[in-house]
Amino acid sequence: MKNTIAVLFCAAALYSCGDVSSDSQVEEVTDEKEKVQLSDEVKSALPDVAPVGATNLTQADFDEYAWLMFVAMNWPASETERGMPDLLKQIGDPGAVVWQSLRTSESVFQANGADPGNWNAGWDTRGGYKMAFKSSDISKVSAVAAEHLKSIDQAVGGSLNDQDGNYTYYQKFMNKTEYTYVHDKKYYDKSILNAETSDLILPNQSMEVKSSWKIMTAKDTQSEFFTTPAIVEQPDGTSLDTIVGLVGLHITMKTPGAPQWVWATFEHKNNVPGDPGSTATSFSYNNPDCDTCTDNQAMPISVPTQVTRYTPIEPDAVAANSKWQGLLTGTVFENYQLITMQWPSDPNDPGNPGGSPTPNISANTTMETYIQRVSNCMTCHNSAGTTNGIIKTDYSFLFLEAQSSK
Amino acid sequence: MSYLNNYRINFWGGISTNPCTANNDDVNDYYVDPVKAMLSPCLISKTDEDAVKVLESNPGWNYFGDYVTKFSNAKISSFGEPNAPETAGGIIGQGVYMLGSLNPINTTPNPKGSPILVDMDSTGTSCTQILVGGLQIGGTNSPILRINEDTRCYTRSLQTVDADGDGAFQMKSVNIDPPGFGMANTSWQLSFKYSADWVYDADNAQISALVEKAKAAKGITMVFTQFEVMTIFSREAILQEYADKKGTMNPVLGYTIGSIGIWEEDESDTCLPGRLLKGLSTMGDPSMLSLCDTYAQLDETTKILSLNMASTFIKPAPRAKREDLSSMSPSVDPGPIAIAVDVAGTAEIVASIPYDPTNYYLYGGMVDILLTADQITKIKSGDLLIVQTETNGTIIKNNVSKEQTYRFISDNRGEYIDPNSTNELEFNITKWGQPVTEDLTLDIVFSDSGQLSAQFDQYTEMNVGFSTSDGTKIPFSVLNAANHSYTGSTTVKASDAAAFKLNAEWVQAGLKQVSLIVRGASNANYYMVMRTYCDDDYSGIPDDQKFTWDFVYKEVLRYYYIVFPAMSTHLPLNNEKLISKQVYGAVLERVSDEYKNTTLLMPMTRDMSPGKTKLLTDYLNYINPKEPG
Repeated sequence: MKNTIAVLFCAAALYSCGDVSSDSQVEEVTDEKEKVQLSDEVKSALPDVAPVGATNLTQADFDEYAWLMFVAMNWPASETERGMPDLLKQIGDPGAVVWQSLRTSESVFQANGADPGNWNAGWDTRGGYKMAFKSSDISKVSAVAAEHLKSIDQAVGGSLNDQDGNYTYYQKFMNKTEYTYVHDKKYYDKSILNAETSDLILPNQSMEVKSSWKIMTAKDTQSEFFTTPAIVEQPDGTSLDTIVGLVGLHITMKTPGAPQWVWATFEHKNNVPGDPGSTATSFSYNNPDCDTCTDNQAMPISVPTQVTRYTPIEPDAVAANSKWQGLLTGTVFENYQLITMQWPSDPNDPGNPGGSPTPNISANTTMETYIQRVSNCMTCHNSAGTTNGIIKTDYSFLFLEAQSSK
Repeated sequence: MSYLNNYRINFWGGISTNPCTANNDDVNDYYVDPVKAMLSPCLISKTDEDAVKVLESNPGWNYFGDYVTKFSNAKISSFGEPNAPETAGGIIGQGVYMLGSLNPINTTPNPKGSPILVDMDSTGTSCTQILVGGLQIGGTNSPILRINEDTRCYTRSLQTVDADGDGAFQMKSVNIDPPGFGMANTSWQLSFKYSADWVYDADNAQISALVEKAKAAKGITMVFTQFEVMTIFSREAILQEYADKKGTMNPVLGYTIGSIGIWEEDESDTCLPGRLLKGLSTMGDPSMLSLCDTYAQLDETTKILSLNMASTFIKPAPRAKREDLSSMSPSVDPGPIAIAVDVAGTAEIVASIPYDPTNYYLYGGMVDILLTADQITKIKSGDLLIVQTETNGTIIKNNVSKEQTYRFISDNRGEYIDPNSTNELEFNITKWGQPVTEDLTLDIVFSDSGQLSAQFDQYTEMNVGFSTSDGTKIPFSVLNAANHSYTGSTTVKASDAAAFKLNAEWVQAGLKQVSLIVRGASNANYYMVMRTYCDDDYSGIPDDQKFTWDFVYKEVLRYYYIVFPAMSTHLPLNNEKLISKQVYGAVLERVSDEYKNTTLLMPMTRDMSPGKTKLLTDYLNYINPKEPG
């Protein structure tokens, strides 16, 4: 089946977010243009894709694009080169995947604003790969902020406990395009970043990935999860050498036609009940038998959070899921589903720099658990700025983690 | 002289507005207190979750509206001097864009947000406003004119249709599914002072011509209409979207026809120039629907009378698809029409009007008529009329529009008055477009600007007091107790009429419409909507009680979280940790005075009292003390 996927994948039409020039002026995509829409990493993960022209792009087109990003970013990673796939392997083969080889935000924004080195520094998985989740503070707003973001915190506050009562852990990444920009400008140093007086403009094909993980226990069928070894810092400060399973994945990318970025979010299909086609009876974040549980309310550690999905998955995404889960049959990734792909339906109107996010609401139950009713990736990230509040950082909150050399 | 008599660049296209409507009286007349900007008693005691459920079950037609207002595919269609429009040139087809504000605290040259439309009174229909941060002609990568200046405009010449043929004009449509609005029509004027900071393409002949003239004047002004407006979703469809928990926005789309021209030194920022001719209903023909205002101005040097007829006649057939604004069907064809003058009750035809109901929109709705000296003398002698004539053009068949003899020109249309403060208002009162030559008696009438439910009786009294420029208070008496109207009067000396001043002094929190009427003149009036903020004073509450999340959330943020979900798509306003301890800097900025006149002010609804703003600011500073040194 994997070979089938590869063949189909090669033949897949690649819809480009970069070609949405306005609501009524959509240009024909040429092969030459298409090739520059994707970052080196993504292109490399999409072997010899034969693009086709696309006009009047629809939600279905963007959902398809989201899945292409998902497959590209979940391709087995090169053991020695960050952001690059190992094209000798097939999707679903063991080992780290492409997005795990990107630079984590912690590795970019280091203590005292230290230079994080060259892009590829620290990547060699020939001896194995292990993620590390630290509960240590990451500067969220300012040096004097009363609260900081930890790897167990959702971006808008609150931690999430699975049905075993364990925390959910988060990690954020940026790709080479974005990293090179940050490194060249020395924005890993807050003292330099905060001296800027004009909003940042990240290069096209900048990409960020955010993942959410649960600790695998005996109750979980590990073969249904994309798993990875991890060292998890526990609430009491001790470290736990364990296996974690992927429960949520944001993939977002800036393209020439989407200066507001495109925002794909995926989840494991057994996170919560009620999703189309779901036949599961037990869930990572919901107890169907609990009559007294309050939905979507943060709980203290060891108490399971009862999570429900506020906005159902749209039919276009359901159709895309059906197609791609079919193509991925036999791999662990058949157990993941697209929740939404948010895109700017009016991306280039000077009077509407917000771009009209479409759909208006987009939420991952593991990452925006408590704000699902008003969760809008693009609108929220449009407010992203530096810790001193002077400039905006082009839809990226990662810059809040910069620390100062002074 | 005004833009009517000068070089003009004309455009047409679409316009989109996206106000949140959960505070509107037609859906939630007792859920919110729009004066206090608080939930009403029936919601206050509920949990957030339950209060949201109440609104979700009765959300109005745009619960998730974010206020963004923008032109949609509006493009330049003609340009030129009066009576000499051209339709070929480098500027033809260029886009026209209203811009949002620049961030006032950094040097970024591009706006982060959009213009926004904010009602003065969410329960009323008479006055809304668009806050704007600039103007651009030409696309993102190749603007040929770019102006960044914070300004605003107000509803002018609002006209709605007599939907049922019963003489009651209302904001409903005869053609469109509810919520309709199909036949509402209004005009706007935005003005920008010339500045050396303007960026423009000197190689573009049309833009250069405009900018060079603007340098010699005050700047440029943009007059545009908004009509045939309708929501993307019918009420039934949007309610289904909400039932499906999609959080869908339901902006209002309509057509716009406009002109960009020269703004002279002595002109208002926001009040359309010229002599104002009011539409006279249906010309006796019920099938012709509503007629709206026309503006006329004579240039005696060129002998050209220029008419803005963009709204004079309404399109009888709305577009077939709500979202399709790519073409424009004709307006009502009135047949032969003429400009006439009414002297002492006798109407006399002066000149025929070459109105083209099929192509008028390509020229900004502008019609120019070259007059003789004799004709000029006539039109200065009385009220102007637009009349339907018999085919030979010499016999009047019907009156279409009639001039408002006395006209008030003012930028005081939507007034925000802080507690215990006074706003100075100024009016230029003209007669037949010329200085007033006689003293006038001015009646001032208070009435409700919207429809507050009975539980808000505390707001029914006058919310401001008036005094003349010398400080003399104007006495008022009840005009009609049933509809909470009050009246007073004062005298306007002819010598003061060109710059007549009144002081409006805060009395109590409220929302009222105030009309100014020249006594004895049949249709001479002007109105303003006045929001007087609540005198919220928390100074007597101990710090350890008022500087708590629970108190501040209840007093300030909860209303916005429950009623305006779009605000929480930026920052979830119910999230204590986030708001109080993480993004408090952004909140402090957005409520600060620096943002007050921008499109970026928080809250967008501009209904937060100075007292609440102070409480929120003090709270955030209290729990986030500045770093020593």
